[in-house]
Amino acid sequence: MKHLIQCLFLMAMMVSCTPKENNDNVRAELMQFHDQLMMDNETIIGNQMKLDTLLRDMKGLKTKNPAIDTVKEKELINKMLVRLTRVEDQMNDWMHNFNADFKDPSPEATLQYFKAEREKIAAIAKAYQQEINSSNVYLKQKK
Amino acid sequence: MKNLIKYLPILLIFGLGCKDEPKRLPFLQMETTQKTVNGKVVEDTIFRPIPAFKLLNQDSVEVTDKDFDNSIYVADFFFTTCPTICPTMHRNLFKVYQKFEHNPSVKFASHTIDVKYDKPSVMKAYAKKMGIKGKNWQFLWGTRDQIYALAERNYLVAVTEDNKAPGGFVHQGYLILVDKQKRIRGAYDGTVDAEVQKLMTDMDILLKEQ
Repeated sequence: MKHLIQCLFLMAMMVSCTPKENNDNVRAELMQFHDQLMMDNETIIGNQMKLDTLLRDMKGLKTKNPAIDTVKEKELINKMLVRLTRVEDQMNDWMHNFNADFKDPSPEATLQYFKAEREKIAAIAKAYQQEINSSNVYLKQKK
Repeated sequence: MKNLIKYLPILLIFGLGCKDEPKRLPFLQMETTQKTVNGKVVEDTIFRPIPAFKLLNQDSVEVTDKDFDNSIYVADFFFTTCPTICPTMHRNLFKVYQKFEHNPSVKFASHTIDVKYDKPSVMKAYAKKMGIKGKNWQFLWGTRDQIYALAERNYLVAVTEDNKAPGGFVHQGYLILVDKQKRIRGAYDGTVDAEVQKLMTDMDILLKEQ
């Protein structure tokens, strides 16, 4: 019983020592996501440009990889470009709609706004990573 | 007295020779190669200037590299809805603009990297909100390929070469100083006050350069 009380006490301490979410720290986390995504955006755009280059030179691609079916390859590249453009547009839309200076008379409502935006951008970050990874793998194969 | 007169020419030559050389800024995109001239191997210096470009400004007027002839300019890459780095960079760059606002030999070239949203009219409103008057500060729009080629293959190459971390330089708030021959002479972190101060000092030096 004594041990149980000690454990419960320790857990209560740990919970109370965890910093409470507030507008500043949620907003700061959001901005970190944003800045990382802007760096990833350069990779997205770079990969789009490389895929565009491949599309414009299917003859060269066939010379390097005689076994490929250029029609299927074109289709694959175009689908990849559509997905890359979609995630880029998601990020752009988020940025254009996000209000960094949002302030509601209710602090709780302000916090909820930033928390909701954080969830949105976290989902975009996940999509970015997926598309960057798959386009990187494809482009590496075609080097 | 006799000795003083005797040594005066030497002292004069020494004194003039020790006069401070005017400071020159480095060339950030300079390569030294060797070539053979009349059978002799000599060193040749190649500068990589900013190439010709054709973009639209905030008034939807075409702007080319020729519009920056005979002036030094500061180039940057930004977008109007950026919530973090760009506002700080442009607040700092505005101080530079205020210092050189009435100097016709100084210009600014801010390139948007959000080519879908930042149309000329959007950048016009942005410039107005910042308090920019006149034509010295150009907000430039181009296609994605044009802007990223200028950024990654020209303006920001020096930054890329210095920084060992991978990727992500276009949106880092760098200010690039370009001379009258379109050669890059400095790269500064536009979000750091001390670097912006250095930019202003270096611009004074560059303006005095022959």
